[in-house]
Amino acid sequence: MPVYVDVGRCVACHGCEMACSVSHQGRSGVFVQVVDDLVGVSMICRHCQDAPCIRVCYAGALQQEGTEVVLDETLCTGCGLCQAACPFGLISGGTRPFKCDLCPGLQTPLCVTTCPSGALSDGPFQAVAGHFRALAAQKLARSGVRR
Amino acid sequence: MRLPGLPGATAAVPEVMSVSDESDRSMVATICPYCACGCGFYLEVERGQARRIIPRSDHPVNQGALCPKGWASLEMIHHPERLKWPLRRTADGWERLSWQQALQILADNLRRIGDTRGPDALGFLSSTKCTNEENYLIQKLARTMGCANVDSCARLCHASTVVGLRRSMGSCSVTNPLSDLANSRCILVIGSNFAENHPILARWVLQAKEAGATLIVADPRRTPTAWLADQHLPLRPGTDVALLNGMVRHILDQGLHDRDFVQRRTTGLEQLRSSLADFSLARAERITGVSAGELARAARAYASSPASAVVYGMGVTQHASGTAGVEAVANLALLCGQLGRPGTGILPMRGQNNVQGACDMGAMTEFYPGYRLPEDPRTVQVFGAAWGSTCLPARKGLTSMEMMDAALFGTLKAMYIVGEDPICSHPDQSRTRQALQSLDFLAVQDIFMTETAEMADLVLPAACWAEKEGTFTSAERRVQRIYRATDPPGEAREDLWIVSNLARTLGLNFPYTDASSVFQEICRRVTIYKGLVDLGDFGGFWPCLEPGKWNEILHQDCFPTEGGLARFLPATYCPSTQEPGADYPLLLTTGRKVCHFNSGSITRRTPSLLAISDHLVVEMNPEDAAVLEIVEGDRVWVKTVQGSASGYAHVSGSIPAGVVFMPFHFPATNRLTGDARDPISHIPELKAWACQVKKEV
Amino acid sequence: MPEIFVRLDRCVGCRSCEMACATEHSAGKSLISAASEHPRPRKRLYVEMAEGTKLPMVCRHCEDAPCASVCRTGAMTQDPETHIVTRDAEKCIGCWMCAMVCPYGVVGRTAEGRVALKCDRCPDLDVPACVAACPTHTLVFMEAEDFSELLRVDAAARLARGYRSRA
Repeated sequence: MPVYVDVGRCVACHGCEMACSVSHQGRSGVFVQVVDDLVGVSMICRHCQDAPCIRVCYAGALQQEGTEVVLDETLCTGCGLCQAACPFGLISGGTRPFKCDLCPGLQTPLCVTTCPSGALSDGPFQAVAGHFRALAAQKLARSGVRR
Repeated sequence: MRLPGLPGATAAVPEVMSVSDESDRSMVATICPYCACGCGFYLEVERGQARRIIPRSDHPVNQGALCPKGWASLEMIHHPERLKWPLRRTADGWERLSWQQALQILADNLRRIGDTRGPDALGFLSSTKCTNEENYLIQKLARTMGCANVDSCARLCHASTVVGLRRSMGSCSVTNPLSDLANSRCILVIGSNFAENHPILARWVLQAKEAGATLIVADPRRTPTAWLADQHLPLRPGTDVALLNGMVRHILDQGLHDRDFVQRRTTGLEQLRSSLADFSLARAERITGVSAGELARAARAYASSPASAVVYGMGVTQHASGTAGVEAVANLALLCGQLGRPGTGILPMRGQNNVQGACDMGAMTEFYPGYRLPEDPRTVQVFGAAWGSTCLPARKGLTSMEMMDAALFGTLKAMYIVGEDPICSHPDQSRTRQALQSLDFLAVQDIFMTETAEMADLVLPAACWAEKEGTFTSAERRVQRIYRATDPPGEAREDLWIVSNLARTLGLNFPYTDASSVFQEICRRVTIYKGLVDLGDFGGFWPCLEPGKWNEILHQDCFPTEGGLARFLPATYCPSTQEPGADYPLLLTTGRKVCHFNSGSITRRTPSLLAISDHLVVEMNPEDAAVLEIVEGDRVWVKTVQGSASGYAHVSGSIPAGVVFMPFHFPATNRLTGDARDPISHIPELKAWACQVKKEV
Repeated sequence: MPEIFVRLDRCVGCRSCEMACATEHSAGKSLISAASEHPRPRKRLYVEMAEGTKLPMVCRHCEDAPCASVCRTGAMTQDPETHIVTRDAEKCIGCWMCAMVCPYGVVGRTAEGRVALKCDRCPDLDVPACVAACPTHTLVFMEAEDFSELLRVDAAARLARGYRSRA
């Protein structure tokens, strides 16, 4: 399951970035961007279902495993094509590519548990869309229009 | 009482706990050493080295979350620049000493100056980063030497809260637990940028917001906290009192106040009403720059919601009218009856992990432990008997600000500074430097060679939080234990060891073996801590008179004042002395950024935080920048009457025209601020200074 | 351009709209055949319950649609004239940025979970299937002006009834 970001909750504290780099030998797969000093966005690999990075990888180092895009460093030749192909700039490191591995071994990726404002979630897809839907429905319901 | 919707202690095993069979690896529970939220995590220790941080998913404060500073706290423990040996300044540089020599020198100097010039020639600064036990001992050391000059950096952040809230409602702390914010239906945030400084609060605030709460943020800047707001009130720096008074007056005019609460639980409404006779919304609009309509909307939202909370920070307190600001906050909450219930309350957000504890322990010159007044004869009697001392001062001594004055004036001759960096944190750096230079003797006890330590005659290496035992009291009055995870580097020692041994060298009666023996005495001597004998996994809240019994929400039935009533105190708005003029056309305000902490002595040495932000930024509005021909990233000089400093421009629409913002984590910032202070609490004006900015050529 | 509007006070939560939507987007376009199709036809609007109220949540085809503006592959596009946002399955890479950014949570995904799925406002029909199927006329398909008139007429009728009962 990829990590979903609720942009409205992100306060750009960089907690996810730090947690990721602390648990991945100093390399972070999460990037916190502040846009126009108005919005914080925590950018994390989308684990696309038809991932451009997999399409360009001729060494077979990037593979789709279930809902995840997994990088096998032993197969990687360091050509850097995946970095060029990622539409979100979330593969870093050039010839030694690094991307979000969703913290194998943990039930929940560390960036999700560490986020102070609860902006990140890793639930199933339905939960994410459903969450926004429920919020919007609540707002409408609170408008007070009654039968 | 237990609150609805508060997380209880659930699974005790952390999700990522991976204790191997190797006996040399262990997990030590501890509390974050940075801000005052009191987040819990484990330190994984392997062969004496702290290797990893594992946030506690079962901890009621952070629920497994941690901000970047918390993650980076590991880097201070085994930092190569840690002080390892006692050092003495000589003509040829620093000379390494043994502990016996160092303590003897310190004791001799304190004794010599105390004997010749009297105990009032001594000054003690205790540390809000140290444990409750250490703060208790440091103030005891000072007072048993007959010296009333003992203070801490609580002076610089929330002295006005301690004074102001005590005057109006008898208690000077957060009234409701932080997580209780989730139960609020309206949250007014004034002068607090919690999203950066107490990120964990965002969790609870957003939870409330999703349940339909209104979030109002009053801040000159559009901070990350303001990003979350439903309503942002961009007031001019230094006009908080006017904003609050305008709201209070509007609530009175519209009859939105809680008449029943005001009648049953408060006194002084008529004085308040008459003091606000000329404080119309229109006047508030003129002063604050926030439209009357917006003010009225905010006032109505706060007054009419079933549960409203006020969160405030140093934007209210760090002013020459800081105490008035705090009293104005109290007036608003009292008037609307937004106290004593879940989701309500006043939450002054304390900055340091143990600033609440330092105040509780009497590391403020106005109070003996447990907020007992020195002027009260019983106080001196009780502590005199407890400590076996006949020379306890029955008066308030000098505040940390006044100590600098006295040093310049020549009446204060020696200072013993524990875990503080006044050069960086006090206003008007050149004056502070002069003051410390004019001392006969300066001893500094710290974990790094701070800017202040560089000036000392004697430097003592202390242990950091992971290297000692004790208790911290978080902003929400939660007293929690920390455990020793690693050994201090070199010959560094716990502050508790240093202070006790210094006291023994001075011939004082300090019969303490460890932190728990001190804590037992605290439980006996400090009434609000009386029942906190067993702190369990997640600590306990004060006031606690019987073990296991405490109120997480204060003021439910009465206020801890004589008569049990709270008082309305007319909060007078005084215009800032620092009006921008021809020479200094802009207004400088200071604050904090998420990746640094206070004077920066720790975070400026933490590589992973420096990787995110490593230089002093000067934030300014695009309009001002255009006039001065400054673009993003330019090196600029900021000048005030006090001095000048350089930084890198950050041009941003998030700051209003005419205002300049600089974080105070870098030594340069406090070269610019001056020495105006609140007459009652002596908190310095750090939030509004007239300045000019120039591009470096 | 007519749009789908929701009358907040009318939904009874019967889910006829959901069923009609899935059927219209099936191969056979009939309820009977749709039930046995593989992959199973998916609905693109959702009936939500909130605070005791039932509400159909349907794509608003926002004027400046966030889902279209975040799409990096050009799969989600907005017609500049009609403001209808549609998704090109061929171009979609399944990154779910659109789902993350939609404030109404009405971007779903296909049954096999590969690409995003959302309301296309039934290009083959004069009136979208959900609107045609709504028995309580909660969902209406009309011009914005006509919709406010509808609400106005309704409110005026209530006022008139109130006046009559007073008299």
